[in-house]
Formats: sequence, C-alpha cells, structure tokens
Amino acid sequence: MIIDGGVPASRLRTVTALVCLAIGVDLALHGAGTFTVAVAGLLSVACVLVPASPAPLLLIGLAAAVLTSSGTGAFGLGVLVLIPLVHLLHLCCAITAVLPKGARIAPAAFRSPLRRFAVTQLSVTMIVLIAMIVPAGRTPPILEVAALLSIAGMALAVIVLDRSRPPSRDESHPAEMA
Amino acid sequence: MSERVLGWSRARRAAGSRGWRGTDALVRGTVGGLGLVACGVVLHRVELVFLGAPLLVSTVLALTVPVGAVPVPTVARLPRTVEAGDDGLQTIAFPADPAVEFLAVRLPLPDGEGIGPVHLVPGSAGSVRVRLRWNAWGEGVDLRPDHLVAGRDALLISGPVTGRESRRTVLPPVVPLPPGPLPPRVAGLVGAHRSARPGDGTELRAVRPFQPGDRVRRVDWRVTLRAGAATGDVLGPGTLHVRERHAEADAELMLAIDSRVDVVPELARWSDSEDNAVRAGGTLDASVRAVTALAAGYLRQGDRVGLIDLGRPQLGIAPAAGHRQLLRIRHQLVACSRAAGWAPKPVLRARQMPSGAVVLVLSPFLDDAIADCVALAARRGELVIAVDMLPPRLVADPESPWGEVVRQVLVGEHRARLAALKARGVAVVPCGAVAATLRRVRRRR
Repeated sequence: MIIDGGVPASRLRTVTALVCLAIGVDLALHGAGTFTVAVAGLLSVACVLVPASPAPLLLIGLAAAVLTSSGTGAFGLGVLVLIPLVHLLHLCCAITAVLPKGARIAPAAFRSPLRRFAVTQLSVTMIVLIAMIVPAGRTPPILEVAALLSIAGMALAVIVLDRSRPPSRDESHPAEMA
Repeated sequence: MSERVLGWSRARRAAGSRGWRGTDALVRGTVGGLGLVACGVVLHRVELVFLGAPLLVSTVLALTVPVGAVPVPTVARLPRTVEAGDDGLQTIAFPADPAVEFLAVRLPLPDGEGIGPVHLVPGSAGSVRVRLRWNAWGEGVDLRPDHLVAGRDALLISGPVTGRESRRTVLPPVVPLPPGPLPPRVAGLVGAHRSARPGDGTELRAVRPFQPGDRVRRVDWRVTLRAGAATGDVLGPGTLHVRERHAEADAELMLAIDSRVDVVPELARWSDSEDNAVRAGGTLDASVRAVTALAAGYLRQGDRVGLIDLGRPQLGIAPAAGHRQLLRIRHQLVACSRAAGWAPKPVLRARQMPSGAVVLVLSPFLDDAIADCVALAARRGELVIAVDMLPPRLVADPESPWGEVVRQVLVGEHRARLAALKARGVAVVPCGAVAATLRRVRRRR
C-alpha cells in the first residue's frame, strides 16, 4: 500500500460533530428541555474535542434517558433514529481517540469497521423487527426478563469463550523496531 | 465456568503483557452496552435495550478475534547518503494479523517536510510504502516511524511507540559551471595548465640561440640553416637555434566559505532561528551551491581544489584532484553547514592556503572582520578573489519604522567594505562572474 496523503483526520471529527448535532436535534424534537439540550451540546463539544473521554458515554446515556422519559415509545422515530447515531458516535470517537492532531487516514482503513457496523445495525434491526411483531401484552413479564437477560448473558459468554482461547501467535514481547 | 473465567483472565493478562490495553471505547462499549441493556431489563423499557444493543453487539463482534503478539514494523534500509533531488521508496512491513485493524504510523508526505503526520492505514495492508523526496541538501531526520497498533474498532491498542530515526545526508547539488582557466601553480611540475616558465610541455614558448645545457634534439634545424645562410657560416657560433617550450603546471583552487552568517534578502528574518537549519535561498545555501559548482568544474579539468571553512578552520580540506575529492568536499560542506553560525570571527591563516593557490572567499561581507581577513591574505601575496554572496536587493523590515534606515546603513557599510577590499587589490566579484574574473586575472599574470 502506497501512502498518498489520504484524507485529514479532522473529517472524522466533522462526522462526529454531525452525529452529535443529529442526536441533539433528535432530543430537541422529542421533548428535551433547553437545559438538557444545552448539556447535550456541551457533551457534544467534548466528544469532538476529547473523544477519549467519558463524554460520548455520557451523551449516549443522556440521550437514552431523555427518550425513555419523553414517552416516545420503544418503536418511535426518535428511538429508531438514535440507534445508528449512537453506534456511529461510539465508532467515530473510538477511531478519533487513537489519532493525534494533523493525522491522515487512508479511506481503506474504514472498510472493515463499516462492514461490521452494517452487520451490527442489521442484527439490531432484526431484533427491533422481532420485538415489533411480538405481541406486547401476551408474554408474561418474567419471560421477557429472562429473554433479555439471556441476550446479555450470551454476549458475555461469547466474550468469555473467545478471550479464554489460547493465543495462537508467538507470545514474545515485541522487541525494538528493526 | 470458573475455569473459563480464569482462562479469560489469563488471556487478558497475556494480552496485557504483550502490550495490548483497552481504550475508552472498550469501556464505553462494555459498560454502556451492558448498562443500557440491564437498565432496560430492570426498568422494563425495551428502547434502552435497543440503544444498548449496538454497543454490546459491536463490542462482542470486535472481541471475537483474539489479539496475538503486537506486530512490530520493520523498516527497510535506504542509503545514508543521497543526492539532492533524488527520491526513494521506503517500505515499512508489519506482519498481518486478523485482530489488528488499524496501524497508525508516522510517515512523511511525498511533498511534505520533516517526519510527517500520522497515517491511519488498515492493518491488513501488510506493508506500507511511502515515497521520500530529498529536495533540500543537508543532514537531518527524514523518517521516524512512530506507530500505534489498534485492534477491531480500536477497542484494544498497543503503543504509541517512538520509531527509530533515520538520519540521512543529502549532498548539495552539482550545478554545471563553465570553469575559467586558473593561473598555474608556480611550484607545480606537472599539470594541465601552461606555466609562464620554460619547461618540457608541448606548447612553443620561443626560438632562441643555443645555450650550453640545451639538448640537441631541441635544435630547430630549419631556423638554424636559415640563420647560417644569412651569415654564411653554417653551424658557426650563434647560428644554432633551439625551440623552447612552456612548462606545464597544475593549479590549486582554495574555496573559502563563510559559514558564520546565513542571511536572506528579508532583513526581518535575519534574527529568526530555524533549528540550526540552512535557510533555503540564504547566503549559506547559495555559497554551498556555488562552492560545489566551482569545485566540480575545476576538478573536472584536472585542477586541485580544497576547502576552507572560515568559521571552523578544522573543517577544511587540503587540495586534491579527482572525483573522490568532489565527494569529500560535498560531504564536508554538509558538516560545515551543520556547525554553522557559532564562530565569532573568521580565520584564514597562511598555512590554510598553499603557496601559489587561488583563494576564492565566498561571503556576504557583513562585518569588518571578514574584510580584514581577506585583505590580510591578499597582502601575503596570494591571489585572493572576494565573491560577494549578499543578495543584490535587501528587503527592509516593513513592521519597523527604522527598517528602511537599517537597510540603507547595511548596504552602505557593505559597499564601503567592498570598496576597501578593491583598494587593497582584492578583486571583488558577484557569484556568477568568477570564471570571467579568473580569466582576466590569468591574462594579467
């Protein structure tokens, strides 16, 4: 691969800013007060300037809390729009956090993360669609709780199983660059 | 289950010992995803589960491939000495690992300066190549591959690691210059130049009557017979004539560079510091290029060329001939420029100048010390030519009310200094007129 300049990493921060703006608009359109929007704005600024900070997590938590308390409903437009935005914010902040100022990005570097983003969104959409067609009042609550817990448990199990696999590569500590 | 948890913790420890560590994104994906899902379950709000699911699912997907040993980039070696204007393809290879998604490595841009910005490239690339261009001569660091390796979604990272610096010497460019004939060195026995004294060369000097000690084979029989016919006494006294030839001698050129000052046309930038680098378009840059061109031209015609650093006498090179001498001079010019700007006064001693050599002093002549130094060398009987390297048009500092006054004072002093040198018999020429001046000086000799 020949380095030919690529695109400036500041564009990734621009994407982060646009995602934060979209989250703010979503909150404002779904009953968030002025104070809440202002806090979201401050957190958005922190997300753009300091992506390796708790600001993205706080913004995601704030957005989730606002939409839950607004009574939009689980399948409201506000929630459905927020699902990919939250994921995109997480991804953009994760990549931006490892890059110093003035860095440049080869567009090919985004191929795998975007493919995984699409797979994730597809699976979440499937979950939402399944939840939409499942009758709301006929499933016993205890069963719902058990189902949701099993999802979380499965996720943890995948992590545990995967991480406990012995490493296949040489475990020698990296020496100094040749 | 407990064994698996133990195994997971062991794998985490192993990953940590290999240099991997979690980022804020890992915390966000795990805590945020699990927290939202748990809150949704506890509060019985499905929308929280929907919002937490992408974070959790993407984190799980990212961690499904275990990280191995941290890939260590390997930098292919390039030559330590290169020519100005050259370019080369630098390859940085690193072992491909499915768990490594990003490699952030600091590499220079093709037309940029310095060690360049950090480039984020896919970890599956295997090797990264970058074209290095060496436009400016001098010595410096052109590559320092600082790197950071990140796993999927940048949840795990290793580094950043400061790369090893690649220092390179970029030799000054050789600009072709028409060389002028140098005066022959009196002490020389052989060489490429016609000497004024008689000798065993090929060029005819004179036809004169035979003297004791002349070789018989030098007798010009045609002139001798004519002289005999005129006097009526063939081979009588005074009729024998010989052909006398010029001796051939080598010539020596000493190029003296004033590395104490490096100024540009803009007076406002004279006090700027540029990390001890030679200013592009400055007097030192122009002097080095001129010295390289002169040395190349005169060495090509067989002359002996040496180098004198007026700021650091120990960096001088004794005169010699040949292509290796040109390489030596170019390397030494880089060394001179590296140590430039530290000497308070110029040094031009008699032992630095071989007897009979032509000394070219390239300087902007901004202080009296250099003028005195050159005048003293000329008074010793050497042929010294002062080459004025000061830019012909100085630009006053526009932000200072005294800018124009300062410029006029500098120009006036400089002019008076050059006039004083001329009055002491030193030829003062601009950089481009060296060959013509040497030609003129030779005719005078």
